[in-house]
Amino acid sequence: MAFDAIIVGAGLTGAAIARDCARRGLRVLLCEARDIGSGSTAVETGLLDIGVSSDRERRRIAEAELELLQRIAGPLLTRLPLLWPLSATAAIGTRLRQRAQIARAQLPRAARLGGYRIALTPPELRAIEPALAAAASSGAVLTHAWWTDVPHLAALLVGDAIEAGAELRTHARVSALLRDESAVVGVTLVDDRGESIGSHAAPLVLNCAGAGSDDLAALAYGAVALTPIRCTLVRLARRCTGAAIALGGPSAGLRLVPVSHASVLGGWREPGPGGGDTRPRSPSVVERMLAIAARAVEGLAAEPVLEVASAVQARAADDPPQEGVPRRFRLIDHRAQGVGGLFTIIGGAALEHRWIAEQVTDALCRLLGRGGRCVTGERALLGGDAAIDSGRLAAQFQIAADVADRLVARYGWRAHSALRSNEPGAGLALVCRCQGISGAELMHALRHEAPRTLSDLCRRTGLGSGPCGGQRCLREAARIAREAHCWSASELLSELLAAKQERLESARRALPRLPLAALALDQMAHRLSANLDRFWRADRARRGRA
Amino acid sequence: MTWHADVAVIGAGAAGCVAAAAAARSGARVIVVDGGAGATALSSGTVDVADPGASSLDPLDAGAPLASAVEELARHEPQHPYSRIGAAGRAQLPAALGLLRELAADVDLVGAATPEAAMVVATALGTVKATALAQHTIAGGHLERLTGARVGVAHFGRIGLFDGRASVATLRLAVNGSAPERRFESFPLEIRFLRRGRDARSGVFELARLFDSDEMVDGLARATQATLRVSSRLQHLLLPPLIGLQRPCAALQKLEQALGLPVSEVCALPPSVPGWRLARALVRGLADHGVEVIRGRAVGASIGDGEVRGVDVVEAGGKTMRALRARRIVLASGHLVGGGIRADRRLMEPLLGLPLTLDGVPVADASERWLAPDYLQTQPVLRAGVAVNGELRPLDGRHPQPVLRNVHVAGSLIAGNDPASHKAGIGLCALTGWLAGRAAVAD
Repeated sequence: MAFDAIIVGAGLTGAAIARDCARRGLRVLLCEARDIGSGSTAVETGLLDIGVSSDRERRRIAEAELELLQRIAGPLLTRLPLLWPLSATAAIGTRLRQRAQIARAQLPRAARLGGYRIALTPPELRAIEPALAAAASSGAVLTHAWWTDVPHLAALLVGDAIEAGAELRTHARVSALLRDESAVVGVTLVDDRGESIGSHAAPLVLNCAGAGSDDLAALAYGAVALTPIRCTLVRLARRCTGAAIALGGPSAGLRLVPVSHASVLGGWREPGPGGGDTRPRSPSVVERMLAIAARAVEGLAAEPVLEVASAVQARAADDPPQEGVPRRFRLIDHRAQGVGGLFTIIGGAALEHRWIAEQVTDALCRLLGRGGRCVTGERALLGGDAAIDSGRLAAQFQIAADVADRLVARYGWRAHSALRSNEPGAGLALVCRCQGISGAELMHALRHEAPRTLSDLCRRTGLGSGPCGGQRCLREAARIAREAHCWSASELLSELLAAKQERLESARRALPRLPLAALALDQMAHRLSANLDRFWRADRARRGRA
Repeated sequence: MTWHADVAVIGAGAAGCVAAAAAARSGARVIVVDGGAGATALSSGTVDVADPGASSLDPLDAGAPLASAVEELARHEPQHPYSRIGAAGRAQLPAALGLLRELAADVDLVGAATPEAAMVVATALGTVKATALAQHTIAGGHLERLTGARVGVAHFGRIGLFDGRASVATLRLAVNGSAPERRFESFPLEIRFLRRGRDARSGVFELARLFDSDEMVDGLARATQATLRVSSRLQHLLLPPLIGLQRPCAALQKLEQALGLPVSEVCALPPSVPGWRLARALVRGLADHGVEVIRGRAVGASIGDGEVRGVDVVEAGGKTMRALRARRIVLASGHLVGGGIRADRRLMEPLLGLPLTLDGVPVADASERWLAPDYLQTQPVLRAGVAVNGELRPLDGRHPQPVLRNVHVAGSLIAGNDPASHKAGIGLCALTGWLAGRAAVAD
C-alpha cells in the first residue's frame, strides 16, 4: 500500500502531525526507531504555561493553544499554581513584575488562560508554599499552569491518528530512503536487530526525528543545520512542593514540578553533545540543577534522586537562544539542497505541538493538492471529551482515591473502561504500590497504547520509576504483558532483563544521590532469591547455540 | 535506666541471632537489639551458602558439593569473607548451620538427603535455585524428588501475585534445558478458591494470614480436590508460598493428608512470607538460649579509648533513649537493605562510623564506580562493607590493627561478599555470626 506521507519519529511533534494528517484523510505511516515519546519528549517536565516570552505572537499562539487543549483534552490536564520567586529569577524579575501589573487589569481572562495574575508579598508566598522559605523575602509572582504527562499525550495523539486510519510502526528504524532521481519517495525500515522489515513508498517523507534528524537527512545527502541542546530531567524521591516553581537557570527554563508522589526537576537546557547518548552533559549537571533549586526551595540540596534522564532537543542553528523564549519551529524543505520530497521539522515548544502540526499539514496538503480542514482543535482526544468524577469512580470500583485521580488524569472518561478491562485475573490489585498503578491500567495501556516491549509499557505508564525502583512491579507487569503479547517464557525473561537494564542505567546516572537500598533489594530478589542471572545466561547460551 | 550485658548484639537477622546464641552458650549475658525487618525478613527464607552449580549450564543440576563451592569462592576472591576467616573458620560452617537450624526450629530448616549436597528448588518465577537449607514447607519440592513425576503448579488465578501459568512456562524452559534423567513434567493448575473481589487486592501477607485458620485450609483442600478430580493424575503439588504465617507446617500436613499427595511451597521472592517466617522464628528461638531481645533501634554509641562503651537504643514505640552497656559488641546491623550501611551521597556505617572498604581499599567518594553498567554484572557497591581480620574485628583497610578493640562484625556488613553474584546469603551470615559470637566471649 502506498501512503500520502511517511512521518519519521513519533515524538510529540511527529505524533501531532500524524494525527492532523490522518484526520484530514491523508494515508499516513508513522514510524519510530524506538517507542512513542521516547526521545526528547521523554525529558519534558509536562508543565504547560505561557512562559515569559516577550514575543507577542508566540504568546498569542500559546494562549490560543492552551485554550484549545483544554477543550480537546480538558480532563487530561491537571491545574497547577506556578510560582516565580523573584529572587531566583532576578533577570526576568522586572519583566515579571510588569506583567503582574498588566495582568491585574485583565484578571478574568488571565486567570482562565494561566496568564500572569498576582504579585505575592513575602507573607502571602510563605502561606501558599512554605517550602519556599529561602526565597520568600523578595516575594513571587503567581501564575497558573497545567500539567500533563507529555509522552503519554504523544501516545494519545498516536491513538487518535490510528483511529483515523494512520499506520504505526514502532521499533522500526529508517535504514535507507528510497529515491527516484533527486526525490525521496519512501523509506526502508529495519527492526531493533537490524533486520529489514520492508519498504514503504510515499511522495512526502517528513523528518521529525529530533536530534537524529540530521542523520536521517544525510541518508539522502541532505543536511539539517541544528544546534544540539541537551535537556536533563531529574526525578526526586518525594513530592517537595505543592506548586510548580520556576527557578531560573540557563535560559530561565528550570522548573520544579510536583508529579503525583514525586517531584521532577527539569527544563534545564544547555548546548551539549548530540547523538542518542542519554547521559547528561556531565555528572555535575545534576548537582548544579539541585544547587540552583536549593536557593529557592529549602532542603532540596540533600534530596535523594531516583533517576536522571537526558536527551537532545534540536534547535535550528539560526534560532538564537533567548532567555525564556522556547525554541522556534522550522519546516525545512530539502529541495534547496537538491533533495525533493523530504521535509524536516525541528524545534518548537511542547505547548505548540498542535499549532505546529496544523502549519505543517497545511503545507503538506498544498503540496499534495489536497483540501481538508484542520479539525485537531475541535476533536477531543481519546477520553478527553467529557469530565468524570474521580470520587465516584473510586466509590464504584472500590479503589483508593489517589488511584482514581491518577486514572482520570491519564485517561479521562476512559478511566472507566480501563478499570473494566480487568479480566482475566485480578486487575484491580495494585501492581505498583509506589504510584498506584493497577493491573487493569496496564492491560488498558497494552490494548490501546501500542507498547511493544516491557520497557515501552513502563514508559507509557511510569511503572518502575517510583522509590521501589521497579523491584516487584516489573516482574508482575511482565506477566501481564506476556498474556497480552503471547510472549514465550524465554521472551518474558529477556523483556524483564531489558527493562531491568534500562532502569539500572537511569538509576546509575542518579549516583551518588540514588537511594541504594531499593537497588540492593532488587539484586537480592532477582539474582540471589530467584537465581535469574544464571537462567538468563543459560538462555543466552542456548539461543547462541541455536 | 541502663541495660547491662556481657555481649550486645546489634541486629536480629540471621547473623545477629546466631552470634547471640553462640555467645550465650558459654554462659555470657547477651542482649540483642532487634531493629525490625531487615535483609533476613526480606529474603526468600532459604539458607544460601554458595553457588554449587556456577560452572554448569544445566539449571536442574545440583552441582558440586557445597563445601567445595565454598572453597572455590575463598580461593578466587581473596577479599571474600570466606577467604578472610581462613580454612579453620570455613570448617565451622556445619556447626553454624546447626545452630541456625536449632534457633529456627519453628520453620524446620531441612537440607538435602546427602550431606554436603545442595537442594534445588523451583522459585515463584519458575526459575530454579540451589540452596543449602530450605524451610520444611519448601524443601519438599526439592527437584531431585520430582524426577519423572507429574507436578501440578497451583495458583489462584493470579491472586496473590503468583502467576502459575507463567511459572510453569519458565519451569518447563528450565526442565527442557536439563539432562533427561532430571526432567519432570509440570502443569499449571488454577484453584478457584480465593474470592476475586476482596482477596484479589490483598497482599501476600494478608493472604498468608488467612491460611492460619483451619477452616481456610480445609476449604483450600476441598477446592484443590475438586480441581484434581477433573485434571490428570498428579504426583506432587507446588503451591504459592503463602500457606500460613504462624503454622505453615501444620497447614501443609493437613493439605497432604486431605489430598493424598505430597504438597510443598515454591521458593518465594521478596517481600516473602517464608522470609518473614524465618526472621521471626530466629528471634523466637533466642528465648530458649536465654538471650534478651530489645525491640528498638541503636541510634548512637559512646566510644572512647579505642573501645565502644555502650550504645544508645530507642525502644520501638518509645521516644527516649536508653543506654546499653556491654563489654563486647557484635555488630550485625546488615548491609544497605538492613540499614547497616547508609548511602546518602557517600557510603557510611551510621552507628559506629566504621570505615568502609571496597575491594580492599577505603571506599572512595567516586560514586561512578559503585554500580556496574550491566545488570548481570557484580555490582561493586554490594561488595562494599567493613573489612575484617581473621577474628572478624573491624579494620580500616590501611592498618593491620583493629579500629575498635571490643567490636566484632558479623553478617552482610562484612566487605567482600556480593550476595547477588556469589550466592552466599544467610548461610554466610550464620557462619560469621557464629564465629563473631564465639570470638566475643573467647577472651
